[in-house]
Amino acid sequence: MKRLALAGLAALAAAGCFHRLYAPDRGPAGASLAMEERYALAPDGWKLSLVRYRPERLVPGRRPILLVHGIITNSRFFDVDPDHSFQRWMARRGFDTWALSLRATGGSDHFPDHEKDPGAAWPSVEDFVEKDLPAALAAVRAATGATAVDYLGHSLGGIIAYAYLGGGGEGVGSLVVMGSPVRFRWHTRVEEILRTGEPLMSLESLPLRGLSRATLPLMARLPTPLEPTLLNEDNLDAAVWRAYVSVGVDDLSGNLVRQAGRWIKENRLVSADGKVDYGGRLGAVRVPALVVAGKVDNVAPPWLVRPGFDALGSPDKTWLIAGEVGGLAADYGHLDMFVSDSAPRDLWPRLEAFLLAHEPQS
Amino acid sequence: MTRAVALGLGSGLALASLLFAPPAAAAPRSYHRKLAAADGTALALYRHGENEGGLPVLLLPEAGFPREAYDLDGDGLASGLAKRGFDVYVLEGRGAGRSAGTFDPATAVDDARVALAAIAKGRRPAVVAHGLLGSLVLEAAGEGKLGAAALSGLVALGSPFGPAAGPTFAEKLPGRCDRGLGFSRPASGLDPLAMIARGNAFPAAAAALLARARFSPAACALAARAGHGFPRLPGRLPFPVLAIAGMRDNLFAPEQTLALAEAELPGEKVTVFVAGRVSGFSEEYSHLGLVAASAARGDLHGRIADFLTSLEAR
Repeated sequence: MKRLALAGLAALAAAGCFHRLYAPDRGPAGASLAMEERYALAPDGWKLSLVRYRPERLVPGRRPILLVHGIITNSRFFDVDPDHSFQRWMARRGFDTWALSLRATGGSDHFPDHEKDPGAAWPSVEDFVEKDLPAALAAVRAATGATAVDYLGHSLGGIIAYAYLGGGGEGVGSLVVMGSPVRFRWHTRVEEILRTGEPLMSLESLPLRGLSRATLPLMARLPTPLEPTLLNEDNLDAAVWRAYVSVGVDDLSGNLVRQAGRWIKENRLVSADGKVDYGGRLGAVRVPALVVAGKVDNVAPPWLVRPGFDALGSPDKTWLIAGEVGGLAADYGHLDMFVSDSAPRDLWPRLEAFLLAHEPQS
Repeated sequence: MTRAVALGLGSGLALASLLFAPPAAAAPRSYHRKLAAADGTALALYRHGENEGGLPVLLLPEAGFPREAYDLDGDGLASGLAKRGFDVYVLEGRGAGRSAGTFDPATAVDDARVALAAIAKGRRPAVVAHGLLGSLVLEAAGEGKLGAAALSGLVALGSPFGPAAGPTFAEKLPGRCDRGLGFSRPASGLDPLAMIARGNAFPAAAAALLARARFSPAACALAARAGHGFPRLPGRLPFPVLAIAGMRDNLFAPEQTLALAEAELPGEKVTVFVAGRVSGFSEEYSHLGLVAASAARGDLHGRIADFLTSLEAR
């Protein structure tokens, strides 16, 4: 049995070595763009990666935009390869576009450093809201001289913005939130799937980055139930999906799993200790907002995203169903709103239009 | 060589399976019967099979759709339920198929009441209703408008019980829907495929069905009101309800059907689920797909039958 387990581990490790076959490099930034990676320092010492795509010619007065990814991923979610990159797409349209990797993901510090901070732990949402986001916003503002930054958050990235702005956070111009649930009754098998994950609640972290890379050669041949849950496969080529998995899947903090478990149990968006009801204070958010839900998003279906939009206090807010019924050419799932062949043609122009319509008056 | 042997073996097995396979069960015969509405209008009621002892089940097609929605050349839900022993009837609404008149919400409820009385035979029938008809039936039941033949339960397929989270095609219908919902794109600019049939494969019979379907102006107006004052939900759920939402339903979004569960009405139990791939279904179901998709036979008929069986056992 022990030999079998060792052989299995060895096979996974060997398979993992081949992940480079699928992993795309960022490649050159592209004509008229400059790419750089900078770091913001969180108050508790975590170093946070910020990847910037800067247009050759900045539009005077236009705010920079900060992109914040969701759970189990990193900033490569917005920049899979040169042909599948929302970040470059925006930069080519004149937006100074920054993508943050939250702590313990991507190019940011990856593990709690107990030497630097004996109390360091795998993150909860509060770490992102109270430390990472203020540090990232400050770094972008310092580098650009902007007084405010536009914000686009996908999934957990949107939840972070809700919590930050609902608590009086400042420095955000316009807000785009995509696929971010604030309620947690799916009425689908997702609830069943999540219940099977309960044993993970006791883990400190789940090394999904390594696991996903190790299983990539298998994924290339065997469809898994994950894909139809996470995306509408009509919207991207399988090779793009594998490329994303090879660079974009990241480790999962056990504290986040436990916090999400509380959300599901209580059917509301709360802090890890249950004391702060993030959903209940959305009325305090006043910035112009666009909230998007994928028509066939199984993770954050429209009926779980809409209550967040309804609760926003923003006098200027817009709701979009990412699907044919919302005027797009395709129906979108959770991840294919960005890891996508189709989104540049119909969905991303809608995001750009919202941001342009809410630019500061020069 | 090996390939040739494998091919030969495969062909042999395929041939043997054809020779020795049991013959496919024939669809139960259907019988047409004229029914006079309370105001004398001629309605068409169809019976599938002759299951005298089975639970009477009345199938109500979506407003403007003929009985073929449940028939599909013998492969539809009507046959599926008849083969399982239910005493199955389909009532064509006014203006659809062989029923006279035009669809109107008030007469639709009256007509359902007449049909229920005709099929009850001393038992409490169940209703399977598509779209607007499911909403109308629940509203009417709450207001005591279904008459003495109280229902044993309701299966509502893609029926709206609350507001949508965003725009729906139903809101764009008024004034344009009388041009038909056929597969050829009508001049209205609404793409009927996107509206009610996207994402599903359909048998040939369904294409003919779509070509014949017509929403009346009253049906359009009612569809646009779904979630905005229509339907009025009962204060107490009078019978068990199985409500199935189509993940890709663009006419009445899934959240409109799920609203029945979110309302947490006292009384009988409501069971809801969203028919989509994440829940193990073959496809993301559209509005029409819930009754007429090729895959519905495998995905949905058994679940509906199980629910009806549970009503029989009560």
